[in-house]
Amino acid sequence: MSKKPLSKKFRDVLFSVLSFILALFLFLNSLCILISVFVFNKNVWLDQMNASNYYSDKTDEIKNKLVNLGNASGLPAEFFDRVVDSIQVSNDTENYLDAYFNGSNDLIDTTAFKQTFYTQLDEYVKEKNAKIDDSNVDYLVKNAEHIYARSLEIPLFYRLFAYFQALKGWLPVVIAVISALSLAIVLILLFGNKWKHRAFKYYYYACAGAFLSLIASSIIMTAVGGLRKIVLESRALYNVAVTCGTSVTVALWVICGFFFITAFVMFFIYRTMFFKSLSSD
Amino acid sequence: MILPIIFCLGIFLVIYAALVPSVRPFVAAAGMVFSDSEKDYSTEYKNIFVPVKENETVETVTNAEGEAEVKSEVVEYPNYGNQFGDISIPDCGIECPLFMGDGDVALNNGVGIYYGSFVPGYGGTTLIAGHNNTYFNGLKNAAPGQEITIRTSYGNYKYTIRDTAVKEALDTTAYDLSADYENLVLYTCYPFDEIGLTSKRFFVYADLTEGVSIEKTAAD
Repeated sequence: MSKKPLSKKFRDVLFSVLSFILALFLFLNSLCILISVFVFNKNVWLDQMNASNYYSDKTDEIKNKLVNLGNASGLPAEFFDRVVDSIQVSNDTENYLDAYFNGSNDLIDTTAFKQTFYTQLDEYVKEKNAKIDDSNVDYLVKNAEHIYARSLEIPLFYRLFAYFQALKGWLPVVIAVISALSLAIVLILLFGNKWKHRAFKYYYYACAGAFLSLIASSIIMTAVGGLRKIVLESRALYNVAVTCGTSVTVALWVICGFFFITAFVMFFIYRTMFFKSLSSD
Repeated sequence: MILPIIFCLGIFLVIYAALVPSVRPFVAAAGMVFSDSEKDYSTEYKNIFVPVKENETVETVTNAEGEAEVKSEVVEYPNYGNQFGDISIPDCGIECPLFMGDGDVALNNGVGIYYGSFVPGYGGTTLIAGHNNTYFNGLKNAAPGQEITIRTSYGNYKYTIRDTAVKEALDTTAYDLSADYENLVLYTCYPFDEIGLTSKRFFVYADLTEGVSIEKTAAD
């Protein structure tokens, strides 16, 4: 066996392996970018909340819980219309998310809620000339405050704080490293091949591999219905999760589309250059 | 075309080999967050109450002591949250649905039996809770000698109030859930018509005066 075919075979295998690694990096980077955009971006959270009518639903949920408390403590349902409103819920949620994304694991600030509750309660008591006992009222407000804070908290947020902050810090680095390595492979493939059409063949393999992996993920996400089967106590939060799951699924399909077009373009360039090289021979 | 397919399989193989051992606990935790079906957020409750009419009789059997008992097969035991009867105390102006369990849905729509107590006719303590500002507000007029009627799909039960008392909310001696005789305990927050969460409870104790016991099977 001559030396040249062996070297060519080795190069083919090497470039195929590099092409595979490029496909893997493209796939991983796509997922990292998706996570970065949908999980570690506060504005996306707020957009998803707005899109799913979160504040209004959450206000209704809190009111319903407080009405149950009111039934046990002599306050009518209408009283709570004066105590909770969606603007306050929206402000407290945004402050909570702001603090969390900025690295502070604070609980919900209930100061405004508590003040409103006491003020409205005083007015109601005067209006109805009702009997009150200060310790019973304090206990009621404490319970209402607890219900309000627990309703606005995102489940597991408090416990996952350390992981969240660590991942939030590391993810851009991971994306940058994968991007740099991907670029290095692209350059190696480009300059390692004397005939440039071969480089585009390997790009095509990598893009098609990434496309197939992503489309498999998209099909799975679509088949399971995004996050429709997530179990959350709050319906408002469930709606946000479903909206977010749908957005992630759509984004996955968009990325699939991008890689499909890129793979097609790479294949087209490869074939064009291949035939050009044949004609030039 | 074969190479991209091999790449796709290879990618999943690499991810599986590299990530699965370290993310296995997270995958297991995610399993607890998802269910097989979508969560039902409905606050509707199931009503299994079909009143026994005046001229109707419930199928009974005779026990070893020669007493009639409601045949266990005709009793549909309620699940948590089901409305399975109603309760009335004419002297107190109380007439409302009776639920199994004393959760929010039950207490917003009527009164509820504490899930760890017994259904009427079972021969134990039936402990019923209600809000003092809604369905059990009339309990402030409760007095010994007044009659309480509980209607269920398997028979009607009449009780007579023996006593009333005000006790601490956490006083577990206020009722005896292990009693081996049919008795009824109603309770609500005290004082009545006061704003705020109170630490006292108003109890009404009543004894069975009319009603057929449920047949005990080997499984019971």
